[in-house]
Amino acid sequence: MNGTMIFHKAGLQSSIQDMGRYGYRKYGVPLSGSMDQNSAIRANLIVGNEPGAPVVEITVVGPQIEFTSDATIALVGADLTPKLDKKPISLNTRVNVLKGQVLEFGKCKYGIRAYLSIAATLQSEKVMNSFSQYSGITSDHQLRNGDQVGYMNGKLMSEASSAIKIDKKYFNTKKLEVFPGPEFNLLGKDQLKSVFDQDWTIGPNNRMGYQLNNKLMPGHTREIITTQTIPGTIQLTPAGKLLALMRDAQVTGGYPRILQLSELSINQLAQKTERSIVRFKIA
Amino acid sequence: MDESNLLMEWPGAISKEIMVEIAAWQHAIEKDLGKIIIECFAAYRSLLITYDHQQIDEENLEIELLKLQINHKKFRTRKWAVPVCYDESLAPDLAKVCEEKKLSKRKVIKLHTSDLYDIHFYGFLPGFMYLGGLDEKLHHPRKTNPDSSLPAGSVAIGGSQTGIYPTSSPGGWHVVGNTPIKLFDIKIDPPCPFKPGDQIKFKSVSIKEYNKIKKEVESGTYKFQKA
Repeated sequence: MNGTMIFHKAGLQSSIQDMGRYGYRKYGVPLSGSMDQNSAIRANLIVGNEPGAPVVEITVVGPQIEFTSDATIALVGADLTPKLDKKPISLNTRVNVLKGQVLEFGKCKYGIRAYLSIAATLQSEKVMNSFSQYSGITSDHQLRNGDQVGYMNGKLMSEASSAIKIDKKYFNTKKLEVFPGPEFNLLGKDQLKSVFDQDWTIGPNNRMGYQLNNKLMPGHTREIITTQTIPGTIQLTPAGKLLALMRDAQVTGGYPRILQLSELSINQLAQKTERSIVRFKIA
Repeated sequence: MDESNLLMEWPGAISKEIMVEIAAWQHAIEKDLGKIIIECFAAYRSLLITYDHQQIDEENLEIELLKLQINHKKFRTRKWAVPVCYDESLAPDLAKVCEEKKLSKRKVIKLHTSDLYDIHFYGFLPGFMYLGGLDEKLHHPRKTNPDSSLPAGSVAIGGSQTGIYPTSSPGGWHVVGNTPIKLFDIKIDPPCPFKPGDQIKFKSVSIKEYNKIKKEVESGTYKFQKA
């Protein structure tokens, strides 16, 4: 059955994302894609989709979505207290939604990004081989109040034994696994100590990157010739702050790349927000 | 850099020779290793290769790279003309740049249009070219307070670089002109007309010509010109 998700409210920052827009970084186009790809993939697998199918990324304050035909959905990632027609529903499992029902969210209990998958083919704008919304590439970088996203061949699946187990540590862990970055050797003794033996506090953050602060970290004056960065690259700014680049980051940069987050750690960082504490550990 | 990204780096300063060599490597990798490579892209002195780590590991990828035949001396690059209108109405910072550099408007335009600029790579914004070769007489520190929005096509000078803002964007460079041509178009594949390794030359056009070209661009009849 074909239907439409009507976003009566779009929420704080909801957008359609897939695994990213590969093949266009040589033209300066950022990768984009789900911030927490681990959760996005699981959401798809639960409803029998391809792992990289487009999903709705929901951030902190969820949207209000009406479904115009029956479909099976799943929510994986942050617990934003999802409710279907005001009744609480479970995360990490299939949920059958009937025509006219409304999905809403409440308090953000843990994590900050939830992924909504649907057992259907999402009808969304595909630009340069990707559904990921990004400013200047797709017509908007996020969903707006009143937006409608169609779905084709929606089906109802059995809800039985579809639940997957999620380890809460995934959201609570302070530890971020890193590899040494290309300019790791620029770090002096004091800087190494700050990087690995002290806490870092998350500052302002968005889909482009996370600022990480530690008052004891010495600054530096080393500029490097503009070079490539990838999601998970951690740059050291002259003021001694760290910038963890995320999915929407520019493809090049001029700050030393001292660390590189593992794929798992990028996903875990994507579930954290301001004032959370993290620590780095060499993988 | 991680389990699916390999970084190739070249030593030394930014140069045209390295730019062409990197472009030749990129071309060979895309042509011969397309099956194991997801994508690769250049910067001034480096090439980043994103590969499918389920098909190949870093060690074997390096072996494959060493087998490639790279003939960068024969690598073909092109020279393009980019029309730029330096009329005051499209160049909000030109008068100030002239004043601060103690150069006449004619001289600034002459200096800006006489050299070929090397396209090292794209970055910063989709379709933004990192260009090498700006005449030292035109080097000018960036603005301390960036403008919140520069129009698409703005041709600007910042520090030792010159560039074109392909889309409307905040920017800290001094806008000395505007080009009517589109440097990034999502409706066309590839979305950018020029390749890293190519060169461009700015060609001064009158406001009348600018408007004529703009109409051609909008109707899809504009043809990119060789320099």
